[in-house]
Amino acid sequence: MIIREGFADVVANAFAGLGFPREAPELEVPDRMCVPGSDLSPVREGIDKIIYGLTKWEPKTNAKGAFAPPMVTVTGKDYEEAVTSVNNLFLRNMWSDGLPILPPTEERVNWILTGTSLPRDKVIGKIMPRGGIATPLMLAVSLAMAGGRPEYLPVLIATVEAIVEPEFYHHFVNATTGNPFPLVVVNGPIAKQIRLNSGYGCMGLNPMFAAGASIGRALRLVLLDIGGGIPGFASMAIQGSNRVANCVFAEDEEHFPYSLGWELLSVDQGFPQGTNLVTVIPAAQVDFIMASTVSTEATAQRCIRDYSWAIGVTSTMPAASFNFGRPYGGAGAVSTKGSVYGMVIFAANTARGFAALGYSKEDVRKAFWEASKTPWDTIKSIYSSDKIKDIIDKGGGVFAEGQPWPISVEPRSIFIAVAGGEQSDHAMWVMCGGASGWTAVSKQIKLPAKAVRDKLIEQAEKDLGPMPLPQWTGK
Amino acid sequence: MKEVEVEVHNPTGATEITELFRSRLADLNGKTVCEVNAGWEGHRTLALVTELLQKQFPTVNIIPSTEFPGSRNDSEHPKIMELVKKFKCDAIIVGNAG
Repeated sequence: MIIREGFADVVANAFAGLGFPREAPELEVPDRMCVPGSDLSPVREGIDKIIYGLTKWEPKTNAKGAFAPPMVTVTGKDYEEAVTSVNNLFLRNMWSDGLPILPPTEERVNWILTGTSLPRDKVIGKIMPRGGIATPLMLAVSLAMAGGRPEYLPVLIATVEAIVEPEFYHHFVNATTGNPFPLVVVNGPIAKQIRLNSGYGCMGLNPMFAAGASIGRALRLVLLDIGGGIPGFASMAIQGSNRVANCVFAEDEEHFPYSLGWELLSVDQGFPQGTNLVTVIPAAQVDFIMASTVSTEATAQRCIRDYSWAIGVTSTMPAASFNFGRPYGGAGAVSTKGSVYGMVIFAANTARGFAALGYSKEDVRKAFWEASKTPWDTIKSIYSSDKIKDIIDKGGGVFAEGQPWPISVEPRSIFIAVAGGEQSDHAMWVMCGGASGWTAVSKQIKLPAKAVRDKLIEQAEKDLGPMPLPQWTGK
Repeated sequence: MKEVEVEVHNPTGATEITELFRSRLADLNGKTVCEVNAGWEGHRTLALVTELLQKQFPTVNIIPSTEFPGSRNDSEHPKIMELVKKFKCDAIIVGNAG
């Protein structure tokens, strides 16, 4: 294998992920050789190494089988020093994310595991590129490190079940030079029970609603530790934004305008209202949209315009640059169930405002889709003629020469979630894609028996205090 | 004073080796070597590799990267595997990975 300089670990991880030993015969060539017209002398100089790889190289590992690393013992003159040593060890071994962790002792991990009735060694899937095996036990280890609690574990398990589905392309998400991260929206009563934020600051960290921070950070640790996605070694995300705790929040079901005919994201995804569900999208970028309250037809139209500018402007380059032939939501895609181009997240009163003016959720989605179309002159300037033909051929009549092009085959590829408190005004546009993927995957959250759940929630009340009601009631 | 011990899980978890590398070829003469373009100027690199291998192994049979889809598009991987079987590749060179 001929590889770009600095990508040896990426390749080793890729081999491991495919089930091979973590090694391969390689010739590493300078990055500068990988541009048009470059000097290829490193290949001339390295041809003997290529021949050696084909004829003489021997792998160090010659046995099949599963290999689980043993537990690790750390010592200190007292508990505090031992905990510091655990943190130092985890940083040295690249097992941490850079922030302090809680030591994943057997006792703490067993406590976290009380949150699920699944067997601790049940295989959930392999996390790429390294191909480490995700089990409830290993997810509990990550959650323990992230300061999590048992009642969070079912959400983390469902999230990992979602990302290991082939259509999520998590091997791209966790290895690409792009900057994707999993964005997780939770629906159902579980969200409120475990104190997952749907209100102010829901996309960030919040001491009153610690679940999102812990679950998101644990997911990051899963991708780093089990998946091997260490920046610069296996994850080549150039800037790697939004990766502290990913983004885990609940849809605001408390203030949702059901009576005005709107349906939750979980219902859009084909599940009955009330289902405990995670929906995961491969987010590539997050844009703030400063918009006004939707209170009149004029303000509704202004919001549609402002949102659509954000949607349209961000859509063109990724769609033009990355079409790996997948059934994705972007221009020229084959539309499939779950195709997602991006997600608009606005607060409850924005949804209520649209609904009160007679706009269904589908009307709003379609309005965004129509208003965000890219003018034909722009299309011509960014796509080659071959690409234009390819997209027109695949587009099922949606894309035509001389006409403005929508950002996706169908409006449904623009997802809408309601979160951020009861007020109106601003919104977020989360664009999927780049090299990360274009499919939203939803998974039902498997809860333990009610008696177990009740006990965990009761313990959380004792540990964390009463449920922080103000944001839920909007008062 | 007795030291405190803290035993913790290794967070990387288990991995499984399900495939092993094939034995190397004793000689490339008379063998079929297939080239798969992984991007980053791989087409140029592999063309040069072809030239250099043919100089040293006059009867090596090289199937050039133009016969295979690019490997960066993972939806093409099954097609690549089909072609590997069709061409009866004894060895594969992939470049430029990364």
